[in-house]
Amino acid sequence: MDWKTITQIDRRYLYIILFIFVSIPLLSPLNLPILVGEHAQAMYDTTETLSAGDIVVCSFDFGPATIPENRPQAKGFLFQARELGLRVVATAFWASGGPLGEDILRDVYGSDFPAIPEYGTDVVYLGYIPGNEVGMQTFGDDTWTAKGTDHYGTPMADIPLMQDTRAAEDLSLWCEITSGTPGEQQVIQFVQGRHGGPAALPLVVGSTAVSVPGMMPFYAAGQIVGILNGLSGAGEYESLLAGAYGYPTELLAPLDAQSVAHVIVILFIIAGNISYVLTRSSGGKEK
Amino acid sequence: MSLVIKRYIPLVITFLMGIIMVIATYFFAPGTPARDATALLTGSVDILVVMAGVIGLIVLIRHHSVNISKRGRFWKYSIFTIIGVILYLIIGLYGVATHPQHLMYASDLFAWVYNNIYVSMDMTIFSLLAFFIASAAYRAFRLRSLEASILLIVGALMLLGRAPVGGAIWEGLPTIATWLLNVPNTAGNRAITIGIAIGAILLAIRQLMGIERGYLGPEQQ
Amino acid sequence: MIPPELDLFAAIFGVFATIFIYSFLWKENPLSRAVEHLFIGLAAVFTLAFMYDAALTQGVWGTARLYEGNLIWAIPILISLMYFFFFSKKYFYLYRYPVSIVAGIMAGMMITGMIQSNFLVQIQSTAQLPLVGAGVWEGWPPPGLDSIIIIIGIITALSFFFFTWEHTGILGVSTKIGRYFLMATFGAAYGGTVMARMSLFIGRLRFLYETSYSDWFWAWYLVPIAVLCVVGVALWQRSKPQAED
Repeated sequence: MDWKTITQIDRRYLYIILFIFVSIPLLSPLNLPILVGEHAQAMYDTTETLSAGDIVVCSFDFGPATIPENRPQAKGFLFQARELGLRVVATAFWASGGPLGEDILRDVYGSDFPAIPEYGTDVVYLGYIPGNEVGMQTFGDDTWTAKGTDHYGTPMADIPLMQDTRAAEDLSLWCEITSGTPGEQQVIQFVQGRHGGPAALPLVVGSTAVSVPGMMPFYAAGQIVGILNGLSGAGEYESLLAGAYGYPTELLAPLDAQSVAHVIVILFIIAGNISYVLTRSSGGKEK
Repeated sequence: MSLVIKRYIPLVITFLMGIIMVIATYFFAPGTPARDATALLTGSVDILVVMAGVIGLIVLIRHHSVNISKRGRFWKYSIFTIIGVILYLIIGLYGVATHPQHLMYASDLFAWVYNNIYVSMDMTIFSLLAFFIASAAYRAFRLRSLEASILLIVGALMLLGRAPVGGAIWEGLPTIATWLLNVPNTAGNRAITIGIAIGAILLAIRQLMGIERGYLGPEQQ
Repeated sequence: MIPPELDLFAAIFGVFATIFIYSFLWKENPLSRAVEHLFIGLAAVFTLAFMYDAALTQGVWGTARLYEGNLIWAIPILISLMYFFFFSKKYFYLYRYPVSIVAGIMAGMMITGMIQSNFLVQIQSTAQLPLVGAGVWEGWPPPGLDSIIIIIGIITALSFFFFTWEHTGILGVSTKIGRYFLMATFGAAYGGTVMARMSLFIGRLRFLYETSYSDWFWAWYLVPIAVLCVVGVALWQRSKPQAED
């Protein structure tokens, strides 16, 4: 067999293999079991310790590019918060998160959101707060200065929940759904760090898998208490919520597809290395 | 005199603003008037950065309009950009007209177009990376040295351990992946975090001292 | 309210946009380029919209804002208009004023935020890792061993970034070990990157396979038509090799 030919295989064949094999489990799920990891369990447990009436922030700091990961994370957290009777101040420090967050809130609180009875008392949507980390710091210091109205133009002073939420000191938990900057590190630096540290304002994070390795030092230091690691973290969280509250699961098939995609990438790496070794041993040079 | 207005006053403003932020953080407790004043200051910055983005928008529209009028490279595609601008702007202005508070971004139809049209394109463009990464896995990752091998083996263990397939193959794989994240990765990333912190602090100090001036734009203007 | 029929339009548009953009993987073509340019146009207006809203909801409408007679919010709005001197050659320097305010505040914030959270707390947390005490050396791997690995990893990896002396002798050994830790870190990052990108691709596939409208329309019905469009354009291009892109 000509190993050089295999080394120089057209990339488009690889694309087709990926497309076909990842499609299979979506059309016919394998139903692989989901094992809940330490980080997702910590996120769930931390939220469970809160009592009804506690105020939590849910911040949609992501863009369309990470919807498959961040959306189920945010949806799960809002569901758990609603079940526990927590009061949710939802917001976004990414402009792209504004409409996405509203869509998720409609999924959880009903399609009539914000025209629902609990709007303003148990849940409020502030929408996009400009200024990136500067906006975050302002929000932590004085919520009314960070933005004059909610997402729909109602002044802060007219919203009962915002009467009780004047600064970071009033919050019991910050849930950061993020895929970049500003994200969890900015919350740690400019909100949590300025307002009593992790003991006063615990932070849980739902993140795209790219960023999770980088936030582990903060997790080890206790600045972050729970993490949902990409799609698999969302799946683990979803299975915990399904067990406790009968939350409808929807990530089994996508996680099967994720498994297949990972195996394919590993097989590509192995195949690439085999052809590399064989090309070298036959005295050839890899292109 | 003109040099004072053109260069020195902006540098002094930068210095003062930075020092105010540092002093307010370290010397005034939350809730004190001085700290509230800094919240007002940062709240004002929220508006300032907003306007900075408008500049980028104008530059983009100008670029594509000029490209069409001069029949530049790919000018036919610039027409699509301008069509996108005009259509979405009409929807936005309709939103402004119908929204009770005259908001554009928060208006229903504008948000719908974002969530259903824009998002489709954005997600697909970024998902192209999945294919490139698969191709790179085949072509670029070679066990040439011990360092490369560590990178590959850790990467492969993470891939297996963080997806359900890992647990299905062997229950220990997810535990290994979590350990890799919690221990060696924490060590390496903490070193990087500390390094970045030192770099960022030094850069900020240089900026406040007026040594780093790139943010002010070209010198001669 | 949004008429539900628009969902059908969204599904149709989504399928064509997805396939046209994916056709880029085969070869760059007029369809993929057209969708990309349309996307840029929408992105521009989206930027304008959120900025317009931000200025209104932050400075004009809300509690204690301009509408309620608090004129202090006129100051940032007026200063922000100075950004437009970016386009003037003569008065370009006025553009520097708002920039210098933002730069100063960001720099001041960076100093306070970074020192506390990314520097001091990280060192403090490392110093507090358990090495002795009940349960520290029990189980496998024992927490004490993890602590030692993390401490060695941080010190050696930090030494890798130390360029004052040449990396020989003890420093050479340390930087070598540090390099292995950094490689493990990059390996974890690589794993995370693959996970994230594959999730995105899976998200798009789910859109194609799962989107439906009123039980009679499924998005994947249109996939072959979209693919035929791409093939048609490719053939048309091949027949006119001299034509501009």
